Amino acid sequence: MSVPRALSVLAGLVALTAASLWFATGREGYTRWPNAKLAAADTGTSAAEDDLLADIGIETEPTADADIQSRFAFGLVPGGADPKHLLSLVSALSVSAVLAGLAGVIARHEHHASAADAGER
Amino acid sequence: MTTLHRLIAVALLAAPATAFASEPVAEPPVPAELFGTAYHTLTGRAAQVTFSSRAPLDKIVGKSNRVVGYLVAGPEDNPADLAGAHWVLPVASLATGIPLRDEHMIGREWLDAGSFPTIEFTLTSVEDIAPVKSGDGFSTWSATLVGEMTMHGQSRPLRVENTRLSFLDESPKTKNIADGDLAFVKCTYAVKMSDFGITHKEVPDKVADTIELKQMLRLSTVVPEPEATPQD
Repeated sequence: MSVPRALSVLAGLVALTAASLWFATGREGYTRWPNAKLAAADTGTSAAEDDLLADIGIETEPTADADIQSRFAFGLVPGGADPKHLLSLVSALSVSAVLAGLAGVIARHEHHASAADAGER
Repeated sequence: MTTLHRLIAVALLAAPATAFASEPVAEPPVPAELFGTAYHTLTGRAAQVTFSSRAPLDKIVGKSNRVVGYLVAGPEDNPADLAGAHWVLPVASLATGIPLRDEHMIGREWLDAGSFPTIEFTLTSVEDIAPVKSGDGFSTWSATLVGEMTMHGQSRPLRVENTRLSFLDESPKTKNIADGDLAFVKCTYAVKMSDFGITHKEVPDKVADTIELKQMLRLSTVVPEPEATPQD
């Protein structure tokens, strides 16, 4: 496999993997990682407590808490300036675009080189 | 172990411990002039406050389980007619799951936890009291809590309508949660940040001026032991 083709395949793989990861981890806006402060902010309730609350007329309707569970999410854009938060779909697509561009440049260079060789002959 | 798990493990090990610290706040003392049964807020358990900002360009959700405070119940036949209540939320305990965002949120441009480390609510009266449900050893009420909220160093009147108040005598079921008689306070309300002097160029595109808050407070007549309010 030629170098431009290998780079193009790699660019496609990076983009595809990043998009899959973004989709699989909840399609969140920002990259997040397990966060001790967030985990400490909610230890959860027991089934016994939920049952008791239902019995006394305090509904435990689902809230937006699921959006902020302490977990990893590959975000659409970076969630911060430190390296682990720089990972994101946009970052990955940028890398993919650079790889694709590099593949194009190399392919053009090789094409010109081979054309020049053919001309010399 | 998958690559994802390895990445997560590395991130956890690399995270600075200081980033998780939030100073605990002492429960405000119950004023001696308040007559009635005092219930003390149980902290360090399930989230007590969940806030959300829904702006056109971003949605932010955060929470805290570090609220301290008390309520003093009203007469036995109408405990929801509270004699008093006061709750304190340490600003630095609010967590959105994104450390950089948390830093900005408690920074000088927003809540300014350095100068105003707490958000407080002091009850002045209870209105619209109506029974919702009662049974063996419990009663649940609907009411409007009227009081004053202090945030960012500014105090504003606040009405919290349709608040659910429950009072439970101690039983084997309640002991699964905590010792003593229990009370629950559940409510949803909204505050405008601009009312408290919080303005920013990111409002309203990235952060809504109106913040929705959902609260679920668990309280007990038994003062929580120190180990029941774990620190970070």
